[in-house]
Amino acid sequence: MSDQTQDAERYAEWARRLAADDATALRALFDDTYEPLWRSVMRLVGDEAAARDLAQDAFVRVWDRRATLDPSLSLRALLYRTVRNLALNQLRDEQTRRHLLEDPGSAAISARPRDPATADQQLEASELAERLQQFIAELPPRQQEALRLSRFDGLSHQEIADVMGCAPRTVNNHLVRALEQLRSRLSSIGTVVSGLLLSTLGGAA
Amino acid sequence: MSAPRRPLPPELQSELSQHTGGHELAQVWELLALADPVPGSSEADAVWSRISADIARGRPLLTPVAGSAALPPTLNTPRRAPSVQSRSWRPAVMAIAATLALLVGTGTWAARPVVVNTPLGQQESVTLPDGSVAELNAGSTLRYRAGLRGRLGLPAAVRELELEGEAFFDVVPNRTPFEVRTAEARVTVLGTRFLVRARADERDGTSVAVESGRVRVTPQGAASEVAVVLQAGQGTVVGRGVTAPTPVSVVGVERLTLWRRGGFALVDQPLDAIVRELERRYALDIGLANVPVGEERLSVYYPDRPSIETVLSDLCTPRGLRFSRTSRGYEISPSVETPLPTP
Repeated sequence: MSDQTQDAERYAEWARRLAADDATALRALFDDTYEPLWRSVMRLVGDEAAARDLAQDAFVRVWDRRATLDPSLSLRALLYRTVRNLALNQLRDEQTRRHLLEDPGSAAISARPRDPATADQQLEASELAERLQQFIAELPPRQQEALRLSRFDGLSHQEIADVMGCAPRTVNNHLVRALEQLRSRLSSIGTVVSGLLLSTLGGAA
Repeated sequence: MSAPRRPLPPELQSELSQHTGGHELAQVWELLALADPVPGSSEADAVWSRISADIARGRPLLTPVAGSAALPPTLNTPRRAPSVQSRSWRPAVMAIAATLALLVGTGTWAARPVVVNTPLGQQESVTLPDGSVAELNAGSTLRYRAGLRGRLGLPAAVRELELEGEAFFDVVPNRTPFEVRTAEARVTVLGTRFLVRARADERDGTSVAVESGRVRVTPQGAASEVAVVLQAGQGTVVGRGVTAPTPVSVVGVERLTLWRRGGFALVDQPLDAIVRELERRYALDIGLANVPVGEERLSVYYPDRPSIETVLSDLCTPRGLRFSRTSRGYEISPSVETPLPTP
């Protein structure tokens, strides 16, 4: 897909410029990636300020590692993997701390707020969009992560595989299963996924 | 609602083509466009300023220009600066107003304009993606496409920026022309230091002054034959709605760019233009409602950051005007004792 080829070339170019101490490349990378990146951390930590901090940290780490960046590996995948690890470490530390403080109840609940997108974010969306959000949030975590990275953030299979630490083939399986589950959930609420529905959408778009 | 914008990844496409009901799954993929998060960055400007503070150790990519201090000598040198400066730079003081505006729904990353906006009372130095530096005077807005790239994220034929307000540019030479667009003019360069002033509330339109190098100035919508080429120390003006710049004249670039060093100077401007500039510089409201603004043109020159009352006093006294404090600034009015309309 030419989109993804273009992406790969862009990231490789920035990696080369970063290696040459070019801070403007970091700015370009930031402009390109920050928005979907903080959103992806947000889904893990459930707190916008924390998500901002982790995303910020990830960019600084990329800068610190600029001398050893491999242009053949996607900078975007590196960023996503970095924030993911940072977020998981933070959640783990938080759970450990809670455990030490003997507050077993709260950890499980607040560590991963699994609510579908909160109501106030979705006021304006159509009911179908809300349902979709809800169904996505109900997917098993790995499927959900693969689907969001692929469908909404536009990462290639290889990038997702790097982020999630699995094979590209596995990414494909996650995606197919996620789409299957979404289809069955949609038909359970009477939404028939058909050419008719899509043409309606096309008219609205 | 945004249109579906992510094509099926090739691996998924080939998988679905062999899959029972794969067609429906592909439609679910399309339908998911409805659930795509609405873009809206989480304080990207603030986060970027912290990142640049972290990485640049005293030479952030976006630097507030201290109002009264002389410019640091590193300003025009390449990005990574000696760390000597680091202790004097305080990230907490920064109030960067750069915002990344996202074009919703196009789905093209490169269509995102980067907007740098200096609040009233504040100046900022911005390092552009190509390494060039733009110093923005207060109340100015600079827009450019992310990475100074073209519409589809391809390398652009022109490094193109839009300016409303006033900025001094130090352009890193490369093979791509650098072009500043204002409402009235296009200013095209290959690598130089120059000033563009395009205040929406001023009658003069856009004025350009060159400190070093050469720039070409073309009125918006005009053919390049009417362009003028400026050398160091020269300036021109493109008025509103005109088809040709004024003849090239010798200008005091040092004086015109005094704001960069904390001073305040304007050359040959009507009283109201000077007052508007004071408002921007000091982030105040200055009422001028009952004062007839004649054809008189004034020049003011304060090499060090003057107090606002000093400037007002110097402007008012010889003209039989007086000024008084208001809740948001000052009000200039005809003096009761000497109600002469002209000095």
